Amino acid sequence: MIRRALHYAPAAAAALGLLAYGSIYAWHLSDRPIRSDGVSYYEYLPAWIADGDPTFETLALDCCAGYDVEEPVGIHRRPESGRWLAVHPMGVAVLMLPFFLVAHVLSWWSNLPRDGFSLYYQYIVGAAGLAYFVAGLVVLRRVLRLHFGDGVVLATLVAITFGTNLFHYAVFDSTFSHAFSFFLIASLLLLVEDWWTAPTLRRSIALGVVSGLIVLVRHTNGVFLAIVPCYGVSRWSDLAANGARLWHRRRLVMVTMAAAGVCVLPQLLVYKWASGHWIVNSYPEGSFSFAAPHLVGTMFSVERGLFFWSPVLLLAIPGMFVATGWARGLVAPTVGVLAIVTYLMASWFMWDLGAGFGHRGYTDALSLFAVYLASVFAWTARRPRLAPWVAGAVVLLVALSTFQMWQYWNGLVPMEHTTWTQYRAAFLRLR
Amino acid sequence: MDPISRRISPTALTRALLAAIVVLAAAIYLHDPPWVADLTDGFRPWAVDASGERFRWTTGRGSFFVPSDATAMTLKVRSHKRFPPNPIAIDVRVDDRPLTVITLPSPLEPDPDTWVVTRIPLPRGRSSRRFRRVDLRVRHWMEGYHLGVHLGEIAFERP
Repeated sequence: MIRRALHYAPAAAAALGLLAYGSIYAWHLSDRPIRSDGVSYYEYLPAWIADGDPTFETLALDCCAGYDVEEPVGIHRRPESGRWLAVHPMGVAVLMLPFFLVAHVLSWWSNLPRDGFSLYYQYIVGAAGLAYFVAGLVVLRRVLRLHFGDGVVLATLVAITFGTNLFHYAVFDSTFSHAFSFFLIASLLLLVEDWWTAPTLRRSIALGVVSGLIVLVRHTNGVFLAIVPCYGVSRWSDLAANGARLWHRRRLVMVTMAAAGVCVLPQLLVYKWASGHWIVNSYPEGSFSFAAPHLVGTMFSVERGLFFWSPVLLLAIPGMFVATGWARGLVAPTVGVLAIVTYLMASWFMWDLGAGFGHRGYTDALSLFAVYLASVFAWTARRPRLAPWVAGAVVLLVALSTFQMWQYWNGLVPMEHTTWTQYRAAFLRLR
Repeated sequence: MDPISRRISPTALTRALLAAIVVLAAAIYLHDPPWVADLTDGFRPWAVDASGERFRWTTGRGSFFVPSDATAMTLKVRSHKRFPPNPIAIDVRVDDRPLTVITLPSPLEPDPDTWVVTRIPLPRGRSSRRFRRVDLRVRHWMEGYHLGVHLGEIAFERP
């Protein structure tokens, strides 16, 4: 029964996702899928393919892609060169390409505008986030099944999907980068294990491509690549042993790095062309302030705190202490990566990352949290007296997060700057 | 059993056939969907001016559909803003082919709040579709801001 449920879990998530995605736009809970940050992640494709103008000049002149604004959306003229540069990197657009091409061909077939923003583009490209979320669940299921029982894996997938903001970023803000990064980092977990177990040329290239795409989607997510050399490290001596093994397979390491470099190169060329520099801060509104990070706000605040809005993730902390085997070997790299990610996000001028449900900066890392949720579930399953209590708490916390997501969709929870008074007033309210 | 029969099970074949039928039916339907009649793209919501006339602001690019048997359409446009740059060019295309360029302000209608009414004959289309797509491209910028123009109700002439 559990095995069957686990087999169909991604398909069930896809069906629920499609239902939610359709409902959001049928009931006008949001105006269109390609909006806000989603525009700047995506607009490489309209510029490059629909307009045939990678400089963004045509896109800017055709202002503003049908949006109710008076300036080009998500692109800025660089003061050094006067050339346009998108606020976000091109990785999401690369991953959206198959969906864009389907929409492009269908628009031609139905004689709709082939501008990259008309009807089919909106809803087909908008479903890309849902597709990568489901693909991420499939990959995560495969990773977890190698180390945990079916019941634990099923409970983990449900908790990660509905106890956090993952489902929200799969269906509501589906053109943002987070569902894409979730898929890529789950794939990294799978590939890292395969690569360390039995390195082959094919696996090295795949690891390089996924690593390159992780950086291409969101540059700061390059931090997650530290998992590759630190895989299985729990003592300093392990780090030296890993270094020796990497040196031993240096040719494959070079292949991996070359594949990653090929993926990232187009972005570097765009930066160089637009600004004269290989690396730029394409976000004109602000930057990092490393001396004053909002650490508590990022993790616990009512404004957007990770554990406030996704409290089930608190269980991942004891999960790190009770983890065994493979999961134990991932504790140190996970803690290190999450610490750096937290510090980076907390130091960003917009530490809450603007409008959104929960802290979306952590959505990318949910595969890592999943490993330790699974660890704590497996530990609990071996303790029959404790299991009902933990299961009950998890069900309640997942239900609370899902309900709050529904409240957010319906405007009962503010999109940003939520205060404690507002939260209390909206708590468990249906209207 | 021959090797091909062994590789393709009857269930898989039935599923593939059903999928092909669904895709074909969807393709036939989507080639000429009836709902495009009401579809517009790249315009702001309808508004009403002081004299009670309905209009929409364009953005830089807008599209709407006209019946394929229409022989002409009449567009009402005005710049509304008195500021430069002038003139403003509105490039009109039908099914991706250039049709005409409307210039605002018209020498005959220099007041930016007066509608410039242009009757545009529509060439016979070769398509079997029920609707033809009309695209407008508007270049009306001021200090980095795109203003667009007002587009009034569109009228068609049919045989």
